Amino acid sequence: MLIIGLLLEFEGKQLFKKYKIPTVNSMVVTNEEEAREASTKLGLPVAVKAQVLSGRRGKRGLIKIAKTPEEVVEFSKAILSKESDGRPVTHLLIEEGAEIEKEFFISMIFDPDTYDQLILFSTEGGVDIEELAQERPDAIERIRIPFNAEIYPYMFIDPLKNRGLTGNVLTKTAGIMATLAKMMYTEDLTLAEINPLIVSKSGEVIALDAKVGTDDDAMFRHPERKDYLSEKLRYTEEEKDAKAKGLAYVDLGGDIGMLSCGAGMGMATADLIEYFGGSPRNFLDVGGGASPEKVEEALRIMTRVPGLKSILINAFGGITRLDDVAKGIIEAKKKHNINIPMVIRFSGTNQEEGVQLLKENGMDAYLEMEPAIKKAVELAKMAEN
Amino acid sequence: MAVLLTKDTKVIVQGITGYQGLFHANKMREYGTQVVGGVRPGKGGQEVDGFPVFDSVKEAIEKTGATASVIFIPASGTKSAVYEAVDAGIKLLVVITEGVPKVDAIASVKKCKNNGVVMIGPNCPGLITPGQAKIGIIPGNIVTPGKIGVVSRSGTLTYEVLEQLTKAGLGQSTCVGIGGDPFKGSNFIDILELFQNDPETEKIVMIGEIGGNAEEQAAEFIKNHVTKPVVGFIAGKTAKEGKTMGHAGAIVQGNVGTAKGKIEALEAGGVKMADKLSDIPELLK
Repeated sequence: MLIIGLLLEFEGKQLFKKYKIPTVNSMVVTNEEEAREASTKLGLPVAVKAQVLSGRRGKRGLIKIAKTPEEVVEFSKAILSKESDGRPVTHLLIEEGAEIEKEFFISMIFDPDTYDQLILFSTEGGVDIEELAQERPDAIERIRIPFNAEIYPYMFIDPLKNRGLTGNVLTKTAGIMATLAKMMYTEDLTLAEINPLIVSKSGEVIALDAKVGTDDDAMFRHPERKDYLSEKLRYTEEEKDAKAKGLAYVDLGGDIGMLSCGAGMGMATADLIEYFGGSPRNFLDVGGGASPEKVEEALRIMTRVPGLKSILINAFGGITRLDDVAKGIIEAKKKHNINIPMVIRFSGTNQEEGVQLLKENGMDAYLEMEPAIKKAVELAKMAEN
Repeated sequence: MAVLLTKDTKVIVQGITGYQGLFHANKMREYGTQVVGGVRPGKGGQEVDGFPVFDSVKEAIEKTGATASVIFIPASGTKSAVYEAVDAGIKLLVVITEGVPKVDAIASVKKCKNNGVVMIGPNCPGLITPGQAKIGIIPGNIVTPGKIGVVSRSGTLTYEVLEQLTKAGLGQSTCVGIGGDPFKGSNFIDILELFQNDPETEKIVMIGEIGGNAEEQAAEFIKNHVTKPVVGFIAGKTAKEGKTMGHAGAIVQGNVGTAKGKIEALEAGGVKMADKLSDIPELLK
């Protein structure tokens, strides 16, 4: 499962450091030699942790505890040879070992139903928390804070006390929760999760992991995030290419290339391709009001991937002018020498002008969407044989 | 009758001097909407394409008696524009802007709810009452007056449905595009309730998509409160991967958000579900 705007662990921890949420010392490295050097500086044992976007790293062998320099090298090599999210692991976090007494779990979001800030807490951290929620929902404390309320640590004291926390651990944990809750506003977060938040043998409360989701739409308030490693790892080459041109690209794995104006329309078109027995390869959304250049770029990006059997362009002209779409198609065919059979459906603004342009260039368009989709599926099947 | 919007509604455009704002102000006026002016601080007293420009929403209301506003303002300024409109006394607010930060969207929704303002959007195409008026960007040439209320989370998909209804001779009372963002001013339930209470709306079409649980909530609402026939469609059946909001989202919302779950919930609520968009007109007959 993907979380939109998720940061890598070390990026989340940099954010924690800025807000003085305790973490242990750590260093980011990209090969086993750097890892060994880091472990010398930090002192053994260390945790060797893959910096990847999906979770359950422990179970996937992407986190190991190394007790000797040899183990640091061995584990680093092993983890760097693995894959996650469809790409090689390239970065490791080498982290000072911690002596764990207890493990807690904190997770917070803005509840889409009530718009409150919803904060979950459990004293049974470090485990699969979704399983825990299913098996023993009572093990999870739910705290609600109205949106935009002022947030203070006292708000967490009673619920945490009810869960058996006392003394310094109680006040430190409440403080961390209040800080995290406030960060969601100041840092434009959609998710702030620590699993585990540990109590060390010496009584310190420390964030051993960081799972921080950021709001893509708020990037203009945090321009530094554009350069984050997570931002580079998050997208495939095609997605990056599309994003740079203001397009949306989704890979669906089939063999029919698909271009639409608008996401809902794109989804409905993909559904119909499958309904008629075909399989969409990619989903390119040029959005509303697309220019000829955008359409041309979209077709260029679509045809980057090998193995396309047919191309379906389903354009409904609302703000979009269909003569502009036609110009983009004609230009793309010439410029990128596209020979894959193409099925076009035009309906809406400047439909006649668009169809006329297509005809002048040896193409035509359907006016209804279903016959067009059927045709694209048929062409893809013919290409298979 | 219709819901929310008639030919008598006086509308202003916040951001009327921008490219999109002015283009759609003209389109709305051509369709018959009473666009009585626009707002652009610093350009008060000027006129663009015959629309008077005011420095503030407050001034615009005083001079024109507007009760509705449509926001064509970049995402970074949207929250401030919403607050201004609400404080000035606007009653219906349509936010077209896409890419509004989540915390700004939540704050905007709360501001409207606390002041009894109906907000549609953000990231929405707006609404249209065929033959009377439109606020937003829904093309006027694909609708025709009639008795079907349409509510949708998608933009272009809505246009496709409207065109198919119109071609099938099924006119519409009002069509409301509520927008695709998770945090929005009006949800399915709010609009379904308006259609249920509108004597001119006989049947309802509801277009949803994967993600979130608004369709599941609508299903529950329809079961208990909607007596008019509802036809539904969900886009995204082929989507391969879900997007979650971490463990908290998964724990709170459980296994919701898939097309299958939504279709089952809506069918259980008594909604006739269309496999394909083209089945919708037949299901309405």
